[in-house]
Amino acid sequence: MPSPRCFAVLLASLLLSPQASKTQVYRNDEFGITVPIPLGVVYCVPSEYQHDHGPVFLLGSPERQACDEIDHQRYVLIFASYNAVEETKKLRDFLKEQCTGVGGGPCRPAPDGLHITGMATKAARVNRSDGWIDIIVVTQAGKPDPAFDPSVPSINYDAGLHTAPQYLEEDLRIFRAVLSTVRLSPTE
Amino acid sequence: MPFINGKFYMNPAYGRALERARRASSIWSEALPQFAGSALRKQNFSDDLPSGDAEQSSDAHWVTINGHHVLLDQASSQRPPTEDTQHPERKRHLSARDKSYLDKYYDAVTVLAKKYKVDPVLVLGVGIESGFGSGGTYLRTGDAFGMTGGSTKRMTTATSPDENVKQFFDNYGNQIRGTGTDTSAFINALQGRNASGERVKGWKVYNIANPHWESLVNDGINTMKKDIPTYLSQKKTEQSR
Repeated sequence: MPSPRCFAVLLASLLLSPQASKTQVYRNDEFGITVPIPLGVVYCVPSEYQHDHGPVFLLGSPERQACDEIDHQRYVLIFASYNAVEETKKLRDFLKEQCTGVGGGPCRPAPDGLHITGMATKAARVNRSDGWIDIIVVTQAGKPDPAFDPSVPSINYDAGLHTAPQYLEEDLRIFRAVLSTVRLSPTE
Repeated sequence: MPFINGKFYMNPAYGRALERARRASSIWSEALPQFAGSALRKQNFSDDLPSGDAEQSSDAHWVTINGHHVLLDQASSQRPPTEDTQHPERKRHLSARDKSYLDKYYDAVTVLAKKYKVDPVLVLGVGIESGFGSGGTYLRTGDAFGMTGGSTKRMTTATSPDENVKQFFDNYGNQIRGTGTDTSAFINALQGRNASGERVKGWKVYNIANPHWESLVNDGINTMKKDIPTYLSQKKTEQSR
């Protein structure tokens, strides 16, 4: 069994390794999102005039200007919003709304094993009419608002992968990595 | 011949069962054979089944039309109209949160919306950004429209709903001017696009995370479309007392 000293040396070497030094962490105080930015993606930094609902990571190493029109890019994002309307207040309804509202089509079965650790999640896939694929994973958290509905969490989280069929498997690996490392812990 | 819901089945019992299953799982498409097996079973959508499914099968009955034996589904074809379909202008319930939001914002938005020739309902729908004035960020900043946020370093702050509404129109009024009741044109304008969806140089973009943000605002607008008639009706009743 390695000694505590060995552990300390190992930990220090990991922290000082080039990979560790490159890892940046996205944090959102309002919605309680913390997630390491995957290596090799382009993180779209929100403008100071925009409400930051969560991180958008572009895949496939595009130019940073591609952040202006993400519809035509492969991306992974986490989008948080207040759970504020009847149509999305329950998790299953929220998923359906995301399928039709974001993906423009019905929910279909998602690839296996998509979930966020420690959270109740639902997942679906949408085959968009323009040929793109959306993989959607939804969850909810936060103290309920009794003035709206005391039985539902106050924040909806939508983790999404937007990709093309030929990149699906490749991009799913990054999506799974984001799902496994994201922490959602709203203070409200 | 046994036709069920317009489809021919040699075995009527099999046909009825298949059609029931199709209705119950209508959110899944049959076009994805690679995922139609294990993943479908693992998804827990039991709550998604239509609540009246059992009644649908018991209400169905056979009739003969032009010599064809047809199973008519009474529950779906003769479902009684709901409150929403009978009276689309009525909303079932106005939450205390939405009433509070409209008490603060309805008048202020209506005045400036008229000036900019845009339906106030559309502008009020953007209040979903703050959970219609209920999110903690709103309580700290007074900005119901989510003009900034996320980072606590850069926040739009307003001391009153009037000031907040003025900030919204100062920032986006010229872009949304004249969009009237056209939700699509309104959202396009907020996102820096003209009514045809083409990017307009120099226009601000409300939120980069489209189409997720656009879907969110669309939900907000739909909620306000239902809330506002109820709100105005309640207000009128209160004033007449």
